[in-house]
Amino acid sequence: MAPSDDFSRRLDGIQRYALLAAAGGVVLCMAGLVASPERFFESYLLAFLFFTNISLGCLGLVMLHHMTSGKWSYSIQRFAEAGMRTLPLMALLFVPVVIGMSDLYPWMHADRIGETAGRKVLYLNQPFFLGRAVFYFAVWTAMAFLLTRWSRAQDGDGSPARTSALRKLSAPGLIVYVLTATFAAVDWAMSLEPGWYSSIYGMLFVVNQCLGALCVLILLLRCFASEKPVADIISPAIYHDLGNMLLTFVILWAYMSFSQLLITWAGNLPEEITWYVRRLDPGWRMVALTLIILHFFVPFMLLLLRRSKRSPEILWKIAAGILVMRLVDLTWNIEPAFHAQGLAVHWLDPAALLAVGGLWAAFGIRMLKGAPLLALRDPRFRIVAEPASGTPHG
Amino acid sequence: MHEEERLVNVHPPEPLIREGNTYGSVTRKISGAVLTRRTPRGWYIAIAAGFLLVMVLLAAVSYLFVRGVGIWGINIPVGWGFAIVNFVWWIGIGHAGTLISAILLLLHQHWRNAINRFAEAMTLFAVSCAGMFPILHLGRPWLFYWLFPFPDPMSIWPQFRSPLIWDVFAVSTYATISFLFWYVGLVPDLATMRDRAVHLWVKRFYGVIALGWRGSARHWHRYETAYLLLAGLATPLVVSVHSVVSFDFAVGIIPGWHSTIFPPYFVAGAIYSGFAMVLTLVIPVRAMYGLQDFITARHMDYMARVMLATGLIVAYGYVMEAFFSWYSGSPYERYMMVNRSFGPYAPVYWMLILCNIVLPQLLWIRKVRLNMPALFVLAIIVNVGMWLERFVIVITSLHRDFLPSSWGMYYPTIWDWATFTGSIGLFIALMFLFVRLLPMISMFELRQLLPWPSGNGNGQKGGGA
Repeated sequence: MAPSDDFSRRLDGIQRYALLAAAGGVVLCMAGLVASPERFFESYLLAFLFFTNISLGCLGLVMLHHMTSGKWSYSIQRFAEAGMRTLPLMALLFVPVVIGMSDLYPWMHADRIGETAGRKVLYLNQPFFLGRAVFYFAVWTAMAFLLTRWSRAQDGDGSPARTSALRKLSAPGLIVYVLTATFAAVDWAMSLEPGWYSSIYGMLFVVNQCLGALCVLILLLRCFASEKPVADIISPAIYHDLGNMLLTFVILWAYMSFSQLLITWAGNLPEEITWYVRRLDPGWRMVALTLIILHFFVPFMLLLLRRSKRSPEILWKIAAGILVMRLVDLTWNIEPAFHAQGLAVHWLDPAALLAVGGLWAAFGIRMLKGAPLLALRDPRFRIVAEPASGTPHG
Repeated sequence: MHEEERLVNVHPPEPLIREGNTYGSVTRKISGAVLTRRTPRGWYIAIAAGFLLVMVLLAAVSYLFVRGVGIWGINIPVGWGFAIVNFVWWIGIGHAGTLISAILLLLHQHWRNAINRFAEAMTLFAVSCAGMFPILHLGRPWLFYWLFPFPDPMSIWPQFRSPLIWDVFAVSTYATISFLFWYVGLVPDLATMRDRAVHLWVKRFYGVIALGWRGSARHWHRYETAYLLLAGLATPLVVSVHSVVSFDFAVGIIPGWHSTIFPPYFVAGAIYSGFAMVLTLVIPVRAMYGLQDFITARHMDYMARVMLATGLIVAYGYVMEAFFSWYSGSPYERYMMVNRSFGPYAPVYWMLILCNIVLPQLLWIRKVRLNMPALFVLAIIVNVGMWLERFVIVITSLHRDFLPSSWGMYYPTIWDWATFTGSIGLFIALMFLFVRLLPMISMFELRQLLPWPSGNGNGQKGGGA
């Protein structure tokens, strides 16, 4: 079943807006690059990480879907595939980060970092950093490519062997994803403060990626729920499952963030606690409090309610709210590395988000075209889509 | 092709109860294991072994009460020896039961119905074994109640900033909820036992503990509500208890203990070892009592997969520990890893890697997951590996900290080993008493998995029947 013309036109429309936003963002960024290059790279890194995280979360969720394959995950599979296929674009958008490296990463200047950080030069040095980045993007792109290709091929031939191949790739793929995402988090974010370290940081990043991606996927599903193949299977039960997943990731975020805080606070070691000292300075402290309330308590309470999970109208608002808080959390994570003296938001922050986000959205929307929004010919899809006969009452 | 068959097999079609069973046969077979069946010889062997080891425990603990903790190998710098290793090991084992009974219930994983009772009992007995160790380790075990905050004339008040106090609350809450969950889940089946028992005193025994269950619609309604509520209460405990246990280590600043990955890594390790223990127990009991109809190959496959997945998370934890000890740039953190891998306890470390990471990779192979002897051996290997992991964490971190002048070695004494093996005996004895005295599989939950009867009316419906 080919997507209808209506649907294509709708996608074209969205794509135009996205490109327009990107164009505006790029112009502003250019201006910013001339006016204050240092500040531009800081804002750009934030925007780059925000959208790369979502793409990576999509990659993780697609592989999780192939491993578990519930009805709910079929409903978001194609959107997540589009999301992960933006990874080649993100590789390209990594170039400005490379250009701004010496402004962004203190370890680029051996004289500027302390003795402890100096012991890490074997890992934190430019050639190795770049080599790792190339490796990450190569692996991610290859996995995203194969996952898409086999799934699309199945749309044509409906062969069960494809499902089996997808599973066989996804199981080791998840391991590779978690490990590469962990080290990418160390490279791109943690090493902004080269003296600091925290062993839960990578796992927290992975959780954040999946959480952010899930929010975007819920928004997309809500957007396109009326389109043909999706409209046939969508039900409150699917939203309920997605809401529960969202709740799980929100709890995981809180659990891991709190663990990191508690252990660091209790240890109170100079090389660790400074990370929090910066982030609990006036200004940033208000952001931290906002995170506790709006990134955890409010969505947690709302998502406990059955009604807010079963109603797409409520669920998409919660997802949108969490997505905004993802951005706030990432800002709080990244920016104090540059602005320890207090909260600093610049007009370049939204400009960079607009530029990167516009390109990201335009590219992702393009990837939605050309395939039905459901993997209809996956043999397992038939099993989950039909009312299960094996399950008992209730 | 058979490829498609396999894909389909992964999903519902293969029944969770072998064909040919009815409401009646499920009840008859499971209650019969307690009421009518001849006790298998394996049971006598197991209970005898367990009982003998309980006697060893009794001797070890009696001598401990007389002489004090000096009979163990602990000293400065290693003040936490086997007692804490065993505590963490046992409490971790309990976690599989709670995961199976609470989280899998909320996730509608119906395959749990065949193993939840058994796993919950395991949780309860593992927590009992665990709880014993910190108390024995106190030095004056008879004053253990000082751990609780209560107004006493000497104004002794616990230090609430210490995770050791959080442990008291975490573990006692865990024990309470686990017991309630297990017992509430037992009540309808106890009524079935009461109704089927022949001997008067047996009838009275089950009658009293069945709390007057009659299987009325109202009983069932309240039961379902209570059970779901308890499941909701137990769910956070799966994560919180072992997180608190990990804080016992992580809030200190000793290299090898102070690591932020500890909470999730400990929780994954707990579930890993828990599933290993469930498999260690289920495989022989299943064979002994011929329960292959209810605990099918599919169940074993699922449990093996959970074990593999959690084992991989644990492996991730090891990788992070190793990487960040180097990346920290701190000479002490770096030395910790060098000491673990090449120091005096290096063989223990490499054994742990072999048992917990290398060998369990065999579980990727479907044939291994479905081969009971192989799975049994792997489960035991994981049990051993997880015990060694706790040994490495507790001992190698303590024995060489910041100052080389205060380094030392730890060697367990015969009393350490006696207490440890004794606790295993206690666990085995309790487990096999449970198998003998109570229905080890939840009869009414298993009956829910059967299709509705098509009118051949072979006896029991649900309820107290």
